[in-house]
Order: sequence, then C-alpha cells, then structure tokens
Amino acid sequence: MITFDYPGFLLLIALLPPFIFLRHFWKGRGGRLSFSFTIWEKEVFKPGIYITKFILFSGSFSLWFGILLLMVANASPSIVTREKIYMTRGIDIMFVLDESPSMAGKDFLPNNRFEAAKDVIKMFVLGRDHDPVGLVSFGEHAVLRVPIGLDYEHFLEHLKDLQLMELGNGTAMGMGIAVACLHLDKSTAKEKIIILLTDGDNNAGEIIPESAAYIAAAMGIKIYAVGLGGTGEVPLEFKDPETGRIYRGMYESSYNEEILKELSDITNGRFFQALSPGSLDTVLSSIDSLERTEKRTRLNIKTKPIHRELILIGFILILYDFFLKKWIFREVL
Amino acid sequence: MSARPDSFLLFFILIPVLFVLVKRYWRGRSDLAAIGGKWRSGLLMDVFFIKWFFSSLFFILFVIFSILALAEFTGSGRITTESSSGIDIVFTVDISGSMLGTDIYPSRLKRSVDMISALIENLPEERFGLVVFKGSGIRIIPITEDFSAISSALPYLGPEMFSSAGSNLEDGIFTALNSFTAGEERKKIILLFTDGESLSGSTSMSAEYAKDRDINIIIIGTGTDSGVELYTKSGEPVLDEAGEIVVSRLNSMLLRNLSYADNITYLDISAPSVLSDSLTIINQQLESAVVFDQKETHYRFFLSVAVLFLFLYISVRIFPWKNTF
Amino acid sequence: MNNLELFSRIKNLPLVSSKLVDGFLAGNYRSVFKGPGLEFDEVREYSDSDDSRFIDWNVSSRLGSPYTKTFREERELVLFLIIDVSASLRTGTGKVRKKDAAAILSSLLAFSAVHNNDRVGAVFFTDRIEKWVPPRKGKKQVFRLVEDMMDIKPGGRGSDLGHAIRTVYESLHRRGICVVISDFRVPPVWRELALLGKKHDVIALKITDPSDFNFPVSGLIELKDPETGATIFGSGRFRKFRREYREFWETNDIFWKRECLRRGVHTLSVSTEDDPVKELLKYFSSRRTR
Repeated sequence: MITFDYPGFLLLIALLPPFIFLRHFWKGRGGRLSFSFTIWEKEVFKPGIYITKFILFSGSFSLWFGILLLMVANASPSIVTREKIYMTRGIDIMFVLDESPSMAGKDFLPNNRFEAAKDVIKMFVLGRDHDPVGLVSFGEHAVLRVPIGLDYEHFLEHLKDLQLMELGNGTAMGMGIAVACLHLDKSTAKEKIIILLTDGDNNAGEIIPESAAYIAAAMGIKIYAVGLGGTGEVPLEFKDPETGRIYRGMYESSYNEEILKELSDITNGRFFQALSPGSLDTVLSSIDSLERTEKRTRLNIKTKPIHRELILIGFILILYDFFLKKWIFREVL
Repeated sequence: MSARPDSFLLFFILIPVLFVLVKRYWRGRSDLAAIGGKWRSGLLMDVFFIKWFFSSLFFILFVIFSILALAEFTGSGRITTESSSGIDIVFTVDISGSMLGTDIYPSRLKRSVDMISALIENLPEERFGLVVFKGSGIRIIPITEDFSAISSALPYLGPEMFSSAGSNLEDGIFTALNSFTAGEERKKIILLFTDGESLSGSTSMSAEYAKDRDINIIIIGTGTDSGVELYTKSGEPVLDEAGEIVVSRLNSMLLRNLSYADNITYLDISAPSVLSDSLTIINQQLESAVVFDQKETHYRFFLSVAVLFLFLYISVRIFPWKNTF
Repeated sequence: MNNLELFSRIKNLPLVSSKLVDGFLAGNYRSVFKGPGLEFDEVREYSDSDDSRFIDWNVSSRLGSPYTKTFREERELVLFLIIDVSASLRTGTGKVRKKDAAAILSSLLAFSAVHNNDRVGAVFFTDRIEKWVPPRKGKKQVFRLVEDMMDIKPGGRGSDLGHAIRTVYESLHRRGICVVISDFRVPPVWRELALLGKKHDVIALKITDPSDFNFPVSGLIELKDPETGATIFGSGRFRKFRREYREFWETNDIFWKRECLRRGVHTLSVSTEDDPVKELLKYFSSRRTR
C-alpha cells in the first residue's frame, strides 16, 4: 500500500493536462516554423514516417510520464507494509506418522491410509496459525523428518515426499514417540503435543510405547493418538521403495487400541478412532479445536520511502526524451 | 550532509547535455536558415537565440536540481527504535568440490562445520536453519529451536549431498533469505561459508534484497590466498582441461567487495578471532534493540524547483515569441 | 527582403520593362498573345497616297468610285492580373518570399502593359476576393497596384482561385489577357480556367521556391502550414521524408502543367531564386520563336 506524507501536492498533477494541451494541441503554440505544405482544401503532404512518429511519441510520453513521477515523488510517497507480529509463543505440534506397509491398506478410499493421513496433516497444518510443527515418521526405525519450526513450506514439501516402507517393515511406535520427545526437548513452547497416526501395534524398536509415553508425560507433552482403519480384512497395495516391486494382498487389520488409549491416558491426551476419511477429518479438526490458544498479535507497520526511485526513473525518462529529440533527431528547438 | 553522495556522480550527465545543447545551437541556426528562409533570418536568429538560451538554461537547472534532490540532504533526524526478541541464524554452506581443499586444516568444509557447531553451542537461546548450495541452494533444516537437528545434519555435509555442478552463491543466499519465517520480531542473520571459487549468479540483487528486509550477512571466507591442489576422495588429483592439477584459491577479493554494503561483513576463517568476531556481531544485533534514525531529507525543496524549471523549459517552447515560432 | 527594398526594386522596373517592350513587346505583344489584330473602322474615298491593297471593291462598285477601307489601331488591350495573396505565399527559403516574387512579376507585367499604352487591372484573392482594381491606363495605375500589393492585409488565409476566376470572368467583358500569379496550391480550377480561356488569353504563372521540391536537409522541426495551421514533423534528416516530399510536389507540378496545357492555358514557373526579368524575357522569346 502506498501512502503520501503530503497528499496535497498531488493536486499539482492537475497542471499536466493543460500543459500537455498547450504543448501538443494548442493552435497558437510556438516552436513551429511556418512552412507551406498543403494544397488549400485539396491535399496535405503527409509524410509516411510512422516509425519516426512512434519514436517521437515515445519521447513525449516519457517526458510527461517522467514529470508525473516527479510530481508524485514530491508528495513524499512511501510503501507501507503491515506485518502481523505474534506476541505469544504458539503450541509445538509434532506429528508422528506410521509408515509401515500396513498403512497401504485401502480402506480410506480413494486413497490408502497413508495418503489419507498425509492429506489431513496438510489440511491441519494449513489451518494452524503460527504454531511450530514438526514431523517424525517411523517404520522399523524412527526418524525426524522435519524439526519443529514455523517453516510450513518446508514441512509440507517433506510431508509430500514421504513414502511408505522407507524405514523398513515394522512399527516402532515407541521409538517414534521417543524421537519426537527428544526433538521437542529444546523447545521453549509452553504447550507441546504429539499427534500420533498409526494403524498397527508396536512390533519393533528398543523402546516400548508406554515408557516413551512416560517420558512424554514427564516433559509435559500430550499425545493425541489416532487409530487408523477398522478391524477386518483390507486390500493392500504398495510399492517397495528399494526394489520397486508392487505388493498386493489382503491384510488382517488390527491396531492395538489398548496401547493407544493408554498412551493418551498417560500423557493427558486423547484417543481417537478413524474408520473412514470423513472420520479422520473430524478427528483432526477436533484436535485442532482442542489445541487452541489465544494469540496476542500486533501490527508492525513499516514505511519505506520510494520517492528516490520515482525521481530516478522520472529523471531518466526526461533525459531519454531530451537526448532522443536533441541528439538523435537533432531537434531545432 | 548528503545521504546519497554517490548521486553527485550524476553531474557528469551535464557534460553530454551541454555538448548537445551547444551543438544544437550551431546546427539549429543553419537549419533555420535553410527552412525558415533568408528573408527573415535576422528575426529567426534573434528569436532562436532567446528561446535556445532560456530553454537550455532551464533544462540545465532542472538537471542540477534533480540531482540535488537525489542527493537527499539530511536535516535533523527522528530516532526510531526497533525491539527484537531473539535472533534467527541461517547457516549457508558452500558444498562445492573446492570446499574439500585442505589449505585450512582439516578441510575448508570441516572447519566450517566445526565453526557452526561452536556457534550453536555458544548461542543456546537462538534459532537456527541450515542451507547448503552448489549449483543451486537447498534448505536442509528450516529455522528451528531444535538445534540437535542441525547438529545431526552437520556431519553429512559434503559435495556428494546432491549433484549439481558449480557454486551458485546467489541461489544460496536467496534460499537462505527465504528460510526466514514471518510474524516475529527477531533479528535475521545469514552466516555464509564459502571460498568464493567459481561463483555464478549475480550477488548484488540478493544483497539489496537482504538490505530491504533488514537481514545481516556475515561472510566467512574459507581458504587461503595461496590456494591448494584439489584431490578427489579417492586421492586422485582433479585435473583441468590442460591436464594441470586444479588449484583452488580463496577469492577474498570478490567476497570483500560484497561486504561494502553495510549489512554485510566479511571475516576470514583462518583468523584466530573469527569465532569471537562473529559472536560479537551476532550479540551486537541481539543486545542493541537496534536504533536507527530515519532522517528527514530536504529533497522536496530541490525537487519542486526542478519541476518548476522543467515547466519553464517546456513553456519557452510553447510561447510563440514575436509571432514567429 | 523588406517592403522598402522591394519597393525600390519595383521603382526601377519601368526601365527594365521598357526594355521588355522595346525588345519584343512592341508589335510582338499581339502576336505572342493572339490578340484581336487590326480592326476595321470605316470606308472613305480613295486618294492617291492610299495603298491600293485596301480598296474595298464591294463598296467601290456599289458607289461607282474607289473607296478604301480605313483601319483603326486595334482597341487597347486589358491586362488583368489575378494575384494570389494567400498565406502560403508568405513563405520561401530564399532571399525573397513568393509574395515578393509575385509582386515583382506583376509589376513588371503591369509596367510593360502601361508602356504599351494598355490598360491594366488586378484582383487580389485569398479564399475570398481581397481587393478589386479596375483596369486603367497610366503609370499611376501601376504604382497604385504596387502599393496595394505591398499594403494588402489579407482577411483570409486560404486560396480559392476558382472563386477569383469566376469573378473575373463575370466582370471583365472586354477581351483581354489574364495572368494568374499564384503558387497554385489551390483546389482544382480546371473548369474555371477553361471557361476563362474561352474569352481571354490566360497565362498561369506559378511562383515556386527551391524548397517546393527539395526539402532542406535539417534537424527535426515542427512545421505549421500558414493556411490551415496543420502541423507535421519536418524531418529533413531522413532521406525517405525528403524523397516523399519531392515526389508529392513533383507529381503535383506535372499534373498542373498537363491540365493547364490541355485547356489552352500557357504555363510559366518562376522560382524565387531566379531573376524574374530574365525569366520573363526567356519565356516571351521562347513563345515568339514557336
């Protein structure tokens, strides 16, 4: 947005049209030499110098536009930017996402569980306002994908690149929670939460989920555990990222509801069950509404004067006209 | 005092302007005699001289006053303060092949990594990000308080991280500039580790952009002026087209030139005080709730006069002097 | 050239014009312009001194004694000048304007006529009739004409030659010689010229200027047409501009000559650069030899 310190001086622009008229259209203007080139009431000599005329027009246009810029600059314009400054620290949100092969279960049509989970995480993050987010994924091992931070762009990029089975064939849920806790340790946030999305039972890793949950509880981290899919047989289809082979089959789905409940109970969080894409959305939005803090913000107004740029451009345009006409076209006057 | 003394260089434009005006006078006389006719040449010459004299005078005055307006003479300033609540530092590391040069022990890259670790340890309260660049820049770690994330990434820095030849400093700086997140009043610093070898991309744009956004850049030059022969990991020398072993040198000239902008500082990694110097700069940013005075400049007076002369210049032409032209 | 200079030059013209008359106008005037020739007056009784060739045998046989025809010197001619004083003649790149050249030429013609004891009249026109000077004899009349030419402040700017010719055609009953002195930057007047040519001898005298065909090589300058006030960019720097300019006016000139000749109107172009006396002499001598 542009503001002017002396907007009254913009009124001087009203001088331009009369001057343009006088200079280019007034019948009695000077600067013209009387020279007969018409046949009375019959014919006028009209030279076909269209390119020349166009170049001359560009010169005159830059002259008047340059003057306009100078007059605008005279009103002392500046660009005002308003930046929203958050006075309060947001909630740290660490997503812990299962990427074991069972997440390929196709009961979240049209997607599989994994893609559905990624989609809702994306929606969730885009809905947050200045809350640092991070991402841990686990299979046989657990790895920090994105450290806690406000760089949503970076977060979403990495979330998109996440693939099934990259971390082996297993469900190290406990490790996932532990890694998340480890990386939340340095955080200065008052409130930290882990959102765990899984569809299986802990079957790998050196740390069992319960002990990881106790660590989290000790650090004041809440765990929201989301169980994906129902019980029963689900069709399965995924591509092994290493060999590129496509696996298909049926899979007896069953996640350990008990453990997830326990995890959330230990850390004062909550357990949710998401059987369908719709219910997953609801689950995430309820977490979203549970974890809201009041944010104090203020507007930081920055003004950047731009008169210098305008003067410079105007000056160059006027000189362009000058050199074009006086030097290139050798204008007599 | 002029806030933009470099504007005075524009006075050189007066030389071609005067040249053109004087030439116009002599040629204008002969042109007028040819078209206007000899029977009234006396009158034409009189009118032409008067019109030429005044329009030239007014145009020259316009040029002079425009330049004075651009020079922005400063008056009494008003002081504004800016508070900040911490620092975001983005470490930007050149990982081109030349960074493996061993003229700095153990290697340019390793020493840079060590320095980053040391800085992180010394600044426990701040947030950090990590960007590496070769042919293009890549954000490895976004700005985060979780410095263990950076610490764990540091050992893996090296030319083999991704394949894109060259050393595009501009893209590196831009990637770093875009790593900063909005919404907080934190000071922003880019710590750039590079040997300045075979850089591509124009850096002036990014420097200007950084200045606009109040981002400070500390350039740490890694390497020595004498340079070192480059070897691949397997110990074979890197050869150029002529079959000579490539010698990589620190291009300190280029990096020092960059630091003429007042938001850019240049430090040499081989200097013993490099760590403390950079810490000092960082802490200065942190402690001084930066005070800068935005001075009112007197450009408007000069600009108004310049515009007035421009209108007079145009009016001289418009006015049909002695009904002649 | 200011009016004073011009006037002093015109004052010296009688001498030149007498040369013009002495050289070939006397006697040849009529043969150049086909003229009415000798005019029959009356018959009277033949005396010995009379030329026997002129005996009117019809009358002699009827009356029984020789009678001879007598002839009167042919009736004095009227030289009528149709002079363009439009704004386009107030230009020119040489030492004299077209208007000055027109003044010199018309005075020269007027002096010649007066020398020959003919009557001379004139009409000054722009887009209207500015002044009408009825034909009279005598040097006084010439000076009056010259003065009018100097002092005339035209009310109009354009040049409506057709209107002027029609007026002359309607008001001039006696057969005479009409000279149209103009730059011929006028709307087509061929019909009027043809009409006038039926009654009088017509000479179209075109005043030209070197800049009529060759635009001077010069820098950019805005040109204002003195008649219409229209503006163009005169860019004599560009060959294309100069070529188009020359083509435009040369075409116009060729067309003018052709159309005049087709209607039995003699044409003569006199440039402001040339000596008008020489040009006139040259013209008349070339006419005579034809």
